[in-house]
Amino acid sequence: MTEPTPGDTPREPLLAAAQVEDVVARTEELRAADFPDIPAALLAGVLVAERDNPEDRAAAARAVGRVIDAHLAATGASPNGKDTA
Amino acid sequence: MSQPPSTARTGGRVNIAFTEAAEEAARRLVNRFPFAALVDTARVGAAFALREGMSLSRPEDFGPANGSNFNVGSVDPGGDLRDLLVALHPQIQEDPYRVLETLMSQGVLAIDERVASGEILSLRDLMGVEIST
Amino acid sequence: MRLQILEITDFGPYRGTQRFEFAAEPGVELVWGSNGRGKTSLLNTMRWALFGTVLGRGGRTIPVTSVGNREETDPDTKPFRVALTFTHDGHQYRLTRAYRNDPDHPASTSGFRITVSLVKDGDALGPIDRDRELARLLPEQIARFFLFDTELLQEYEQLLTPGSEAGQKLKDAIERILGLPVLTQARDDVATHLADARRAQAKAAQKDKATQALGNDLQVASEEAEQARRNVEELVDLVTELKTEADELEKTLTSNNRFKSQVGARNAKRDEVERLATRSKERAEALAAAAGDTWRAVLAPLVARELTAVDIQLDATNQRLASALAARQIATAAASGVCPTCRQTIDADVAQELHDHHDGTEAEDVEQVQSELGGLRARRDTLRTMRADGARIARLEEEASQARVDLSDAEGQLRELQAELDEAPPGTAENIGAWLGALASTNVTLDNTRRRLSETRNDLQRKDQAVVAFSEKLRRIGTAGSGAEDRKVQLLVDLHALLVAAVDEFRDRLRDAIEDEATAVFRALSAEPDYDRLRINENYGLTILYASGTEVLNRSSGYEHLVALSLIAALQRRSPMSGPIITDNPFGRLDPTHKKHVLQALPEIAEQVMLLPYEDEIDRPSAIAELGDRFVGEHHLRRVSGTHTVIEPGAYP
Repeated sequence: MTEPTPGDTPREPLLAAAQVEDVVARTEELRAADFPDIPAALLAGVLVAERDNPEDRAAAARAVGRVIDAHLAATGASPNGKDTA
Repeated sequence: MSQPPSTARTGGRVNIAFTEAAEEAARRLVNRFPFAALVDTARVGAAFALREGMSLSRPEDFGPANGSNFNVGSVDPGGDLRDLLVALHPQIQEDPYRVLETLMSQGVLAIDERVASGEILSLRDLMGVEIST
Repeated sequence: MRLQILEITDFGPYRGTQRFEFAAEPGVELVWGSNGRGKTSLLNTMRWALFGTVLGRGGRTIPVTSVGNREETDPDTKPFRVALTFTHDGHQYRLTRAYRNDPDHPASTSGFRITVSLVKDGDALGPIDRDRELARLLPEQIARFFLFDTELLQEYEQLLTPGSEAGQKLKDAIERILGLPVLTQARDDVATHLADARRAQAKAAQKDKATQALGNDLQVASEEAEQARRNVEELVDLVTELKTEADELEKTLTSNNRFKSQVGARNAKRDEVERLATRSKERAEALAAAAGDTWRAVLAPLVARELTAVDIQLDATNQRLASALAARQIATAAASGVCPTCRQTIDADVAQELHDHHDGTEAEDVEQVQSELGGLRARRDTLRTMRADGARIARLEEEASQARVDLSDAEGQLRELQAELDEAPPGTAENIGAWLGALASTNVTLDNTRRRLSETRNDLQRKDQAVVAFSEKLRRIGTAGSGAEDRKVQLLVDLHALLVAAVDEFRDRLRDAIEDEATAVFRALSAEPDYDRLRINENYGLTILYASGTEVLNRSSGYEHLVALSLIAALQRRSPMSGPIITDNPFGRLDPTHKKHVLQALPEIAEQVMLLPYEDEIDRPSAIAELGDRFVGEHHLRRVSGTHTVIEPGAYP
């Protein structure tokens, strides 16, 4: 029997194109819809901090804290109780 | 209830015993078969000898019957064995118990031999009972 | 993730250094190998490189000391090495894990140690970065969804059993792939930061007279809430501990189930032996009682013969008596001339006739004959009394013998059972009782603790609400002192609410998505028209449903395989994470139609697929025809010796 040539028969795909479920993207959609006051960058930062530290809970918690404090500092209030004008 | 044995032709024999060799054989038989006591082997030995037609006369080389004594009343409680011996051999002249004393030793030795050779392995073999289907 | 090059040195049957290039295009490549040739070892090279583990039959770990290639008779530990080159998320990696002979190194055991190196985009990573990167790339718990041995498929059945430990681990692994832990952990970490922020808020408020009282209240409330939180954590740990204890006890008891049933069997056998011993004794006693009559039975044939003889003699003697009597009558008649019977006179010539008739022999003496007769009768009577039932004795003998044999057999069996029991560690029987007791009391404690936990959680909720109330009040009043803290608290409150909502929404949504996707794949793979769809349970276990909605029970192992593949496919297709599917004996349990479906579907499930079939597992020409332009590579494993396999390109020559 002769070897069939690859590419002879283009075929209908068996499965429809799948939609990837990206919880990060979906959470962002939820934020935009129901919690618009929360900055998108903050949410993204927190989720990335978690994603980068899947095994180390303590490191993840610290990273999240840093993201929050950095955000607060950048948007005009220090976390230590002193208001900056 | 045993009756006192008839004294006709007994010559007054009160005790009978195995020969030494026969007593050893009798002990082997008592161990091997479900006999309650040595005296059972005496009866069986005599019966066997009778059935096999062994000689009633004591042979020359019989030897002394000096094993442990059995009272004839314990060997033959109703006198059945003596009566049977007389019924089978009405012609005997000597004391039937002396004859039985001869037969019991001869019989027991004969049985012992056949047990050793494997010819008799059970009471059934001894009795010669046919296995009925 | 896409694998590019595999470099194997002295691993399993792969002697020397062998380099294997994965196909570069998306599609399916085949590696042919007969059983025992090294397919599982090939899978293990990748496991070793990525996770440092090597698995054997039934998922058992193979010790690293026995992995290195060697001659059959060589018992020594050998070094080996695997280097894996791959891409992931746009980066180029080279991962090398080696088992090296290095006796002088402080970390070596028995002269050997394991070294790992990871080069990312040309830079060698330091140990901390390396470990973190590896943990991120392909955590071991989810490897089973990509690199798998079809033998491990039965793990998927665990997903159907609620509460099974393996099921819980698999569920966590699946949620991991889907990215859910990122959300749940973010939610929890934000909650912790929120609690800290409220405390800070309270402290700031206390500094301002206007809000001092409120600040104090808030601080007290925060502390109480903290305490309640700690209580909850303690109780959660306690519940976990108790559950582990109970699981351990159950495992121990299960492994001792065999022992328990052995004890039961031994006790039953013991009773049987007792019964048989009693019976044997009874039979022996019955026999002994009857054996006393053996002598009669011995004589029975003789007695029977004699009786016959005596009867014959009796007949003869009776006849003789009759003759003798008659002769005497005649003699008397002849002598007296009178018939003694009828008393009539006899004529002289009749008398003469009678006299002549007399044959001259002496007539027998009647008394003598009568005496003989008497003797014979006595003999006969004696013989007749010799009743014996030899058949009964023989029967009793046999019964006694059988009873002894039965007893001896049972005693033998009892000894065997006892020996088996004796193999159990000493004290096992007592221990089982103790373990059962411990399990019962642990379960009671567990129930009580769970109740306490529930109550404490309610308590925590109330205390949190109190904190929120004070915190809100404080924020509304707004002070100079706690402005920043108020902002932080507010921000975190909102962020936390968002994450809580996200977790709730996505848990269900993810399961639905996986169910839909798995059903779609299943329909493509299955050839059974009555199987309509898959349903997913809380643990991501899948059941097959008929169109009516009833469950398909007792599905075949071939279908087990298809359901597992459907789940893997759904995870690959729906999650942002993706990797190669590499499997040996991919078609073992499937019939030709299903094999065809699987071949068609695989390229649509993952971009990189490597199958390791044995020669007759699939028909090569039809497989290649099915795959079409998705057929992107082929190798085979060639045997050089029992301990030496070579990977060569192409099909078997």
